[in-house]
Amino acid sequence: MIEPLVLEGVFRELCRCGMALSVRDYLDAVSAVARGFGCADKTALIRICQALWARSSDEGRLVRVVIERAAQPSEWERPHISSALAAMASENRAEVVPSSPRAATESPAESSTRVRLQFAPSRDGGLPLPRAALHGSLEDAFVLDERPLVSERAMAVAWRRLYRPARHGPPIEFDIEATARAQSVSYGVVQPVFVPARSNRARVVLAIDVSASMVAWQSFGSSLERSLAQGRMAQVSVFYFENVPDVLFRRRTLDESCSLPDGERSALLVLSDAGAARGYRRPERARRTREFFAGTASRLQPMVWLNPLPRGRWRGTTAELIAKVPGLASFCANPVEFTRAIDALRGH
Amino acid sequence: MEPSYSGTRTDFYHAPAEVSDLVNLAIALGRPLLIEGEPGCGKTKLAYSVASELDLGEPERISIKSTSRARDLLYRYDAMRRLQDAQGIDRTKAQALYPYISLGPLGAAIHGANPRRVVLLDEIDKADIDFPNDILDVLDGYSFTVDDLPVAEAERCLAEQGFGRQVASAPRKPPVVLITSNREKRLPEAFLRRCIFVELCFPESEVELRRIISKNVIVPSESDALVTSALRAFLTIRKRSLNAAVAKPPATSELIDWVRALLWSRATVEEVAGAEPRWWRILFKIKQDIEAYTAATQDAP
Repeated sequence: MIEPLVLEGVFRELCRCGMALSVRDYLDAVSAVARGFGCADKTALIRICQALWARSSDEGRLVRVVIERAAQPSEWERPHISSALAAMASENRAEVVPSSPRAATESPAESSTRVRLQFAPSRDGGLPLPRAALHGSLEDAFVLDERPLVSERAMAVAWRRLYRPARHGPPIEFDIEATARAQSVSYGVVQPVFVPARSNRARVVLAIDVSASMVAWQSFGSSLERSLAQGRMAQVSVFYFENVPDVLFRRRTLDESCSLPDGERSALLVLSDAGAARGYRRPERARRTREFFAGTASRLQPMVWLNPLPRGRWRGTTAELIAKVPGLASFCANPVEFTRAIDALRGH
Repeated sequence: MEPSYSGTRTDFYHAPAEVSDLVNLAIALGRPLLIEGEPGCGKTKLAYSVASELDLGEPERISIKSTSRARDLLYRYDAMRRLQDAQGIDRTKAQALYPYISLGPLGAAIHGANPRRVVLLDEIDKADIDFPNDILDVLDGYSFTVDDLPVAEAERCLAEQGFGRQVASAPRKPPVVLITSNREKRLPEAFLRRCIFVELCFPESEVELRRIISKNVIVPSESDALVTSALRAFLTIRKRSLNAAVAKPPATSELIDWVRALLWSRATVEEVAGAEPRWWRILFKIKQDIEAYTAATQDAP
């Protein structure tokens, strides 16, 4: 007979509910229980598992709910925990609250469970964030979390890849190699050699579509703007447009048109659904976009189009036409393709 | 058996049982403890309390800044001094590189030959976004490589300075690493998963606050009534400031400063129990918070 593993049922249920736990997390929890941590009662076990596994208040709540649903052992002694908690894997799985709101509304009629939806305002404008709760004992059993297409932190890290180092400005950085080289061929004491400091000379123009079809990704656009500020570029210019970037505006309200910045060549990133959100195919829109890119190619290179919709949604829409524009690389907004988009901006 | 941390044996800090359990868990599993909480709730003092109770000497406090680099915490290569020596009378001194490499604060704490210590990485959220990832591997295995030390000089460095290219902690005796964060920036997922997380909540009961005051302020017996009145007034002010959504609500350190100010100025119970307690502005650190609190108190029935 295979001995049931300590906390296996709890661990598996949390993984099933979407928590990013690893084998190492599980082994640490087993090690903690083996040393006597969390063995006093269920509350102590919840606290230990929250400390080891939860990284947000919502994950903490999920851990609590899952463990509370576990079978209550008759005595909270170390030797019994393994069988008590492993029993949860087979006995109580059906009772654990699912993590999707659709399943919540399908609860059995005899329990008279209703779903209460609340909407919290999104801090960046755009669509409000829904939170669903069940009346009764499962009041805070699950919460709908905002899942960004790409997290702001991941984008900020990716922007650091857009690095064009060049020595620029007055000679303020001590060049030890050059000084040592000069010293090695001189019998006297040489003056230290200074060179201009390296800095990132990358310049980026970000153009964000703020038309009605892009409302759902308004917070993503704001997050993209903020992440760009952490990329330590030499210059960042942000513009807004409606549907076609041939007319650019300084503000989201589209009340002050402007032209592209003069000066050194910049990389261009456009964020727009290009008609994919509503499934429109507008050849005229594609033609105007193509003309815009042709007209700015001398000043804006490389050029990248970032679409919040997945590639499958581009088929049959203006986005499909724009993806074929020469000299323009198109990507969809997910962590892997965002990194590829940055690589394209680097010229790779 | 290793001594465990109770959180009650020092005269300057009191930790709730759930916090001391998590400290002991982090030590038992050899994982860093990530401490979050409001500014002024005692995150840094917890590290000192752990070091004091477990008799691990003075904690190594590393205040993280936006310019902090992970490598500098592990070791430093003094290239400038080497150049100076190369220009000096005895140039042979600068021929070898290893005399110019020294272990940084975290590197010294990890080095197995040194006594076990508590390391406090204070306010890690202030660091550059790459910093937590750079330090992740080191905190994972409590070992690192001194990349700047040439392989040919590693043995001499080990004989003379006590460390070679590979520096690691003693088996089962890694440093006790406590990391504090004010949540100004989000930390990377892999880093969060490596740490054991504890949140220090502000103690909302008068009894706990009195215990904190008694550990930090010398209160003459004749001032007991004043302190009691101050604690009640503080809880009221804090509740109102939370309702007014101030940016930095009054916390433990502000309370301690306020009680000290009241005792120093020989305030009376009546002055503290009134609608506007004496020196109440000390409890706020931001002008806009004072204005928001004042507006909220005026609107209150």
